[in-house]
Amino acid sequence: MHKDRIAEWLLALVTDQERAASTVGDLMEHARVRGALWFWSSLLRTMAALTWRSFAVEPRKFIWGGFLASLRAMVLANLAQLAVVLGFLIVTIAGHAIFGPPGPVDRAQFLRGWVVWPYYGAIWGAPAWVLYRAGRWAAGRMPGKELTAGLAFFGMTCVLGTISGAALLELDAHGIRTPSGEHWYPSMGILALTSINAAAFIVSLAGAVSARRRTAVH
Amino acid sequence: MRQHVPALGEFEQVVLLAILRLGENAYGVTIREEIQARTDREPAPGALYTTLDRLEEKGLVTSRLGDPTPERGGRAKRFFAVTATGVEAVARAQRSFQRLLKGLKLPGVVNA
Repeated sequence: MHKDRIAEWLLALVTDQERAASTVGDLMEHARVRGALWFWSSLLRTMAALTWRSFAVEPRKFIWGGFLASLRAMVLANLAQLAVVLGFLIVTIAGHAIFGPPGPVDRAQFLRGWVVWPYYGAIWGAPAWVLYRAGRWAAGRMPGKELTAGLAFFGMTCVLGTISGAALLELDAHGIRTPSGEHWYPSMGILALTSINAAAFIVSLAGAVSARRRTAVH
Repeated sequence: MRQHVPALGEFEQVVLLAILRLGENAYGVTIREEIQARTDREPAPGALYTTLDRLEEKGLVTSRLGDPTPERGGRAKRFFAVTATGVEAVARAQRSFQRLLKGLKLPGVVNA
C-alpha cells in the first residue's frame, strides 16, 4: 500500500473520507518541499487535533458512551468466558462418562493435546469477539469517527479495568499468588491490565471501523 | 430576521482574512502559505484544519471540491469561500479591535 493511501486511511478514522483525501493531498503538496518526516508528523498532529476537537465538542457523550460500551464489553466478555468454561466442563464430564477417566499425562503432552488449544482459542476468542462487537456498538452510538469512539471506549475500559483490578489485588496486602507460584502486586496487575486493554483497544477499533465501513457501503 | 453573527477567536479571524485575500484560490496549502507570508507565523496543519471545520460548522465559510490533480496523488483540493455572515463576523471583530485601539498610545510603537 502506498504511503498516501495509508495516510488517507488513517485520517479517515477521524474525519470523513472526502476531507481525509483533500487534507492528505494538501500535506503531499507541502511534503514535496519539506520531506516525508514532516508529512507523517503533520499527519499525526492533524489526527490528534481532529480527535481532540471531536471529543471537546461533546465530551459528556464520549465519556458516557465509552463507559456504557466498556461496561457492556466487560460483562459480556466475562459471561462469554464463563460460557466457554461451562461448555468445556460439560464436554469433559461427558467424555469422562463415555470413555472413562483419562490416564496420567505429563504437562507438555497435555499442552500439545487437541483439547487444550481449542480451549485457549475459545477462552481468548470469546472476549475478543465481544470486544469486536463492542467496538461496532460504540461506533454506531457515539458521535465522531472510529478513532474517537475507540479511544473513549479504551479510556473508560482502562479506568474501569484498573479500578476493578486494583481493588481485587488489594484484597491481599502482600499480593496474590498466581497458579505458577509467583506473586502479583497491584502495580503489576495494573500494568498487565493496561496491556490487555491496549490489545482490547485494537480489537474494538477494528469493530468500530468495520461498523462504519458497512454503514458507508449500504 | 437578522442572522446571529458568532464571535470569532483570533486565529479564526486570521484564517477568514486569509481566505478573503486569496479569493477563488483558497485551499489548505495556499491558506497556510498566506498566513505564513502575512503574519510571519507558521500555523500547525492540525490547527488550520480544525479551524476550517469549525468555521464551516458555524456557517462562516463554505467549501467545494475542485478537480483531482496528479501532484496530489489524484486528490481534489477543497476550496473555501467566506459567507456573508463570515464577512460580517470578521468586520465586527475588526471594528471591536479598532475601537479598543482608538486613542490608545502604545509605548514604543509608531502608527499602532
